[in-house]
Amino acid sequence: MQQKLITVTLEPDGTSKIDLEGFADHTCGKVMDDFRGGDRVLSERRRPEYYNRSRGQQLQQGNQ
Amino acid sequence: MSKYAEIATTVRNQAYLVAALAGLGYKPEIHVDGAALVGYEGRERPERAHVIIRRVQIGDASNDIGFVRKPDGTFGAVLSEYDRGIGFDEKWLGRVHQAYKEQQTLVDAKAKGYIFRGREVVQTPEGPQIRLQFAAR
Repeated sequence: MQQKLITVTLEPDGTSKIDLEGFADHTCGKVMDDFRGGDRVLSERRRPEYYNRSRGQQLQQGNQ
Repeated sequence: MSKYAEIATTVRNQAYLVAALAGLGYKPEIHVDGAALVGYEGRERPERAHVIIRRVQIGDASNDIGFVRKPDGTFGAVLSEYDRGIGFDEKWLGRVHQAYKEQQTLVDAKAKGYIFRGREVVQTPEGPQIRLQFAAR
């Protein structure tokens, strides 16, 4: 089972980046909220491996 | 599933702010009802603040630095023109926000049951970048 990791990068300009790895889709939002701490989100996106995995799944389905 | 977000820090919690300033080497005063800031000539200024770094901790020609609690519950910095000019500027405030967010993240994550895995400081041309890692149960 993939480990669920959260990396918070605190930049010297006071902004921060939250990076989630290994979470199921439906738990991502809650974990993100836990670490956001009520602060404003400047940008949000899925990591590239999410799209690679989705594409892989589509290719697999296409081959069936 | 993996997700990535960029966040702007807002200072809301006085305890985290005080801890952040202490972590940066200051001894901030807390004034529940606010207190006057003192200027470089030793006289009280019209500005008041709830968390104050007295000028003796900054420099002989400096004014007090204050953080005032606004009606919306957030804290804003009161910095004189002179002190901005000697380095207590937006860049310095960024470091305060960084230290504040570290306090907030460590305390909140522990309270919510996340496991702290480590802290790493990476030197960048813009200043130190702090990386905190946690695991979920």
